[in-house]
Amino acid sequence: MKIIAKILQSVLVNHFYKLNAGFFIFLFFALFGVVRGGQLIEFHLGLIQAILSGPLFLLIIICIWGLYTIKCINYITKRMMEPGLSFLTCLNRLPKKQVWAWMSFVHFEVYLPVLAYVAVIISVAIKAHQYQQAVLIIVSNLLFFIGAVSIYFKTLQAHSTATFLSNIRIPSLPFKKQYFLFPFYFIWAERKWMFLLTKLFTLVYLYGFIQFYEPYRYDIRPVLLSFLLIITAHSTLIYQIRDFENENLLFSRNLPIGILKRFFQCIGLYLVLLTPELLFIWKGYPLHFNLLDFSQIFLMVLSIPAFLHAILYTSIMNGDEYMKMVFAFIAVLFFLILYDLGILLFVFVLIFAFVFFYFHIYEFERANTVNTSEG
Amino acid sequence: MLQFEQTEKYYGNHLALRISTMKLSDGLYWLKGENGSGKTTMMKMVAGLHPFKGDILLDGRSIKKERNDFLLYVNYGEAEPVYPSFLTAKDLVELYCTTKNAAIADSIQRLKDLHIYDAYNYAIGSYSSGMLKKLSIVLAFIGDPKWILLDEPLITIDVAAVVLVCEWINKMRTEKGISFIISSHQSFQESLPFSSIIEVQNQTASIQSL
Repeated sequence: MKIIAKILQSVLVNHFYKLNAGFFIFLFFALFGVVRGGQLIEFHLGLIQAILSGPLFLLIIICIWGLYTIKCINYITKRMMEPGLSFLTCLNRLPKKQVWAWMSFVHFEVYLPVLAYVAVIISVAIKAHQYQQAVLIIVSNLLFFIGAVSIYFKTLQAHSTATFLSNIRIPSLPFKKQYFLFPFYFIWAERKWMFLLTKLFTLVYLYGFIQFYEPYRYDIRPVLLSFLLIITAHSTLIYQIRDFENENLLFSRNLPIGILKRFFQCIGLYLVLLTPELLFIWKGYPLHFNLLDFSQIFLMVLSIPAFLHAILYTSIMNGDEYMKMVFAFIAVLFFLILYDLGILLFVFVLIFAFVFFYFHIYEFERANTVNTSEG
Repeated sequence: MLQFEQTEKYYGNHLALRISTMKLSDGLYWLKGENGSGKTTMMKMVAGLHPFKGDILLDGRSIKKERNDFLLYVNYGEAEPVYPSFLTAKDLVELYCTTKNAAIADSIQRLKDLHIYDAYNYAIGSYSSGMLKKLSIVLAFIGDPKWILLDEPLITIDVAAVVLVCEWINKMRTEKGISFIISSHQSFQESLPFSSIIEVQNQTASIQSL
């Protein structure tokens, strides 16, 4: 039995967390990094009390847990259907109860971040005698949990994702497909849950920042740090975009498109991808930033994703290496932003991005197969 | 003229292909070799898909130094073409015509001749392997190339399409002077009057007359 746990852990759970490392780094910083250490418990208690006392807030949070469940389902079912993991169907030889239990084990592990926070919310609710809310939270999470496990179970038994995936349809984009937006269409067509959940969390974070953060004097750095977090949350999408390029856009290397044009197309892609956040931040104008400093935010949104994109042209870069690199790069930028270098910082990042791009784009060759499941 | 200068292609530490010097004057070349000998690798190097050491020149233009000018005149049709499944043939034809400065009407006519124009606006994910192959051949004929590289162009497609593609190749060779490198395990010598053979063997390539 230990070997089954080990295999499921390794091929499903660990891969899920690796693939979504950028998303979890963002969540971790958003929940624990933006508040001063001494105020952390107070902040979370306040947040939990707000969730418990406002029915609409509670409903929104339950919806977010539901979306996270969909993200887990989408990843696990697609991953189980990959040709390399077809051996998992041998689990069907076990009694159905055991298969159910193993699928519960998988979902428990990927749903753990939610369950941990849910446990804290429930204990606060019980302590405050808010039993109705506690029951609602338990029941909704139980339903999400059972729903997810039953879908994993059916997917494994039928060896098909059609039962779940065919029920959810997101309309295709009605615009003329420009070459530089092919990766965006890919994200929309193949990684839609990863995309929508990333957008939901980053926009909710921005909303919270604009509504609740009151600067005692004008300072652009908190906005820049917020955008640093937002770009970190998109790092997994950037990885998926490069992976898509390697898999499906190799033919375009034969097209006579200049390197500078390709670089501008890359920047244009990330500008489109991060447009919702760039527009939403205007709710914070002029309290959080002035017109001049918006140029910093704008250049940051172009330069950092372009840099992360460009380093993925270096042949040594696989998923693990990339996430380490992202973490190190973001950490360095964090301190450089605090040092307040101004727009020069992002000019340099953009130059570095172009240098990497220029020297590596045609030298890159995929060394080995990288998994492309949606997370 | 297509000229190879000290070209070497490695996959990791494994030498896949080494061509010290080779000059291909205009013509219709049959690229031969066993499975895994390096035929596709050679084509992908010329088409700009694979990085490699050394250089390849087209009428003096280096793929390393004048990549755009080089690729404007070198088209490539893959043996097993891969395109994003959500794109349509229309999307790809428009992209190729824009970058290769070509008229769309010619490609539409070719798609009609190959009987796949009905699927022009369909997502490529719904295409059969034969339809995909036909589309890749049409894309390889777009523009005003000097060389067209076709990797196993005559497999997967139906007999009528094979005859038509051979006609296109002959017509473009005689009327426009376009040179071809065509890899195939079958000779097709009755349909395609090859001028020479490029034999890929023991990780190198050499020209042999027929």
